[in-house]
Amino acid sequence: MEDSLIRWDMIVVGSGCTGAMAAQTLVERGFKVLMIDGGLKDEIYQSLLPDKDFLTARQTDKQQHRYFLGDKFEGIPFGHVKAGEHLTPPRKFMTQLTQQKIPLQSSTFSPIESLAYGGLGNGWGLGCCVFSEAELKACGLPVAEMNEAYEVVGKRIGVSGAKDDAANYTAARLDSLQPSIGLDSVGKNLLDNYQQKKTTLNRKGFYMGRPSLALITEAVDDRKPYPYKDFDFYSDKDKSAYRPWITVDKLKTQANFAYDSGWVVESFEETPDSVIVHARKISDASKQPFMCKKLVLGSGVLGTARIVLRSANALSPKLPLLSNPFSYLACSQPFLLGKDLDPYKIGFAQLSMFLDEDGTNSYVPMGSVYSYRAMLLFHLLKESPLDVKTAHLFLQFMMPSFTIMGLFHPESYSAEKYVQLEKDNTTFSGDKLKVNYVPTAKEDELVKRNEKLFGQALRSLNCFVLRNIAPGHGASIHYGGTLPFSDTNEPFHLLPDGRLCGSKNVYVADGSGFTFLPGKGLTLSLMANAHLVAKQIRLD
Amino acid sequence: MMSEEELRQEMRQYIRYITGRKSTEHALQLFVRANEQPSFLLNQEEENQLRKILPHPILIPLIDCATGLFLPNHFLRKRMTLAFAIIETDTAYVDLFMPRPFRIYGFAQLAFRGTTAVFKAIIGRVVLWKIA
Ligand SMILES: Cc1cc2nc3c(=O)[nH]c(=O)nc-3n(C[C@H](O)[C@H](O)[C@H](O)COP(=O)(O)OP(=O)(O)OC[C@H]3O[C@@H](n4cnc5c(N)ncnc54)[C@H](O)[C@@H]3O)c2cc1C
Repeated sequence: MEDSLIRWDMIVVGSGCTGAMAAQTLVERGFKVLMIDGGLKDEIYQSLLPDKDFLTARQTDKQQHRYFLGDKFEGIPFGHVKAGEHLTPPRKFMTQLTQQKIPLQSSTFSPIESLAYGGLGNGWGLGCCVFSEAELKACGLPVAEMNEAYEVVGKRIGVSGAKDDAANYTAARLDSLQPSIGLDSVGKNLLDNYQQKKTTLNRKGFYMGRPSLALITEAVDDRKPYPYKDFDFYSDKDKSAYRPWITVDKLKTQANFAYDSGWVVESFEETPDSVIVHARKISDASKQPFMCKKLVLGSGVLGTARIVLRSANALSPKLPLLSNPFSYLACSQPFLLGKDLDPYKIGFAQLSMFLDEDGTNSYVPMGSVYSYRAMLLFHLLKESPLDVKTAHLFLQFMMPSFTIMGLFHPESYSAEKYVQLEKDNTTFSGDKLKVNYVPTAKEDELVKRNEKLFGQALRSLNCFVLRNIAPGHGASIHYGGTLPFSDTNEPFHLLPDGRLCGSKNVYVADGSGFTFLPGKGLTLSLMANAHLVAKQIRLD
Repeated sequence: MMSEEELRQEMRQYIRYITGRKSTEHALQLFVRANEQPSFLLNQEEENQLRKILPHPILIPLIDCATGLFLPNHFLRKRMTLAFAIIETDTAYVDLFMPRPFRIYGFAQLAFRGTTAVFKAIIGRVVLWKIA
């Protein structure tokens, strides 16, 4: 193929956290980059969200039902708690059209996927952790390079946090760390209790502190410091929270970058010196090929599995799957019962609690502590086994004391966790991804044990678990491991530099290569890896 | 299909029951609009049951307790949750959804309500069985 016919050095698929980071590195390195993406945006709610704080909006905004409940009342949850159910109407666009355009079938796994501009990063909770040396090795990631990459990514996205007891487990050691956001009473009370009990808790391996968040507390360019408006689950007007579209919006101003949305990439085909990317228009299903020298997939772990399996025309192989087991502990701190609400509440995680029983920082479940207000009481009504009237009274009393812990457990491979592509002529792409996710009895036991230990630790801090809610497999929204890193060039694996084994010019920048998922939030590591992959790609 | 007037009557009863206050036009309209959404459409059998209940507002607390305690997936629980959500986002009722100060009286009220709810739930269960 004539070199001049190939307009793009690189095509990056996906504008999520990994696609955005990979693209930025490639653009900074001077390559001509095209990003192809689903690119769906919220066209309804952003303009409705008031520039007021939560309480003022609650008291004065007659249109609030639109963003709290949704124009189709899609914000009111019914049935079993599932992944993504807690997404507010202004965030629901993130998952729009996924079932139609990138179908997935499973009776054991309900993940969230995205075809949005910014991907799942539109709703991520911003929790950032730097993996320990042991964890990086277990993930198949290079330690020294990743540590450098964390610094680069930290600077790009802006991370706040504190160098406290949890600093070994969060991202507090980043050079560019900004000061933590404030605490509301839920976080403050729990942290005060921890300070008194910490000797005993540390002896058991528990460490608590402020989480590192991709949330700025000091202005950077056009991004404003966190405004304490408690609309964290609804709006990003101030851009204090890092969303991947912030990066892509900036890249769009560069001459060597172009963005093309409204596509579902189906497969790729390699010629000796180029890659042809086959995509289908979301709006009318028309097909179009795109040509480049190198292809970088950042389409999310499940999205990338589809594209790779389809391109290999391999419908039968089972690819392994990792997804952190996840549950919520709904708790109350009785000392806060009946207290006035703080003038501000914070939607993002207030505290992080880690359990490092053997002190090696290699198997560390993580609990993220949240207070509850901005999601309103009706979300809790469904979870309460009381009549509406009693539940209403009960929830009003409890509201200031509600403490929610989201608990993430480390995840390793086991035989009954895999994905497969299966033909289905009724779907947009003529196939669907089938997922089987059945942990072993030992894995289930370990999760139960962790839940019990966290419950006990919370109890020692006068925070009592009212209910343990299991939203089902896939609900952690942390996925990885489908194309494990390997240096043996086996099919359906990635080489250490992110190149797809057996291919010459196809790279994977998302979490598909990770061979282990630590309990700590993985997205900072996904972004660091994406940067590393993009940094190593050479044009021959 | 339930008529608009029937839906307004239903919502009026929920508002009175949950808040003890008069209905706002805003809340009534939203409830009607929600019922146009496919996820809230009732089947014929559910409509028939609802029509038997509507003339008797006294049944609402009983049915609320029965569905809350025994039948969390019952269609009437779903309708009351919808009503609750609409009420919660109406500025006229916002004060009713703010935290309550800690008072012994409040706890006594809660304990009393919880206890009577069990009895109401048993009666409500029988009512639901009768109208089914
Ligand atoms: C509510 C919520 C809270 C979270 N909280 C945290 C947290 O606190 N900490 C943490 O570490 N992680 C968190 N996560 C997880 C985090 O969001 C993900 O790990 C991360 O966003 C994954 O990024 P990605 O780029 O790999 O994939 P995605 O975000 O899925 O991006 C995929 C991109 O590819 C595009 N795409 C997909 N398929 C195709 C295709 N076939 N053709 C064209 N384009 C395609 C999509 O449009 C999208 O832009 C959270 C997620 C959610 C939803």
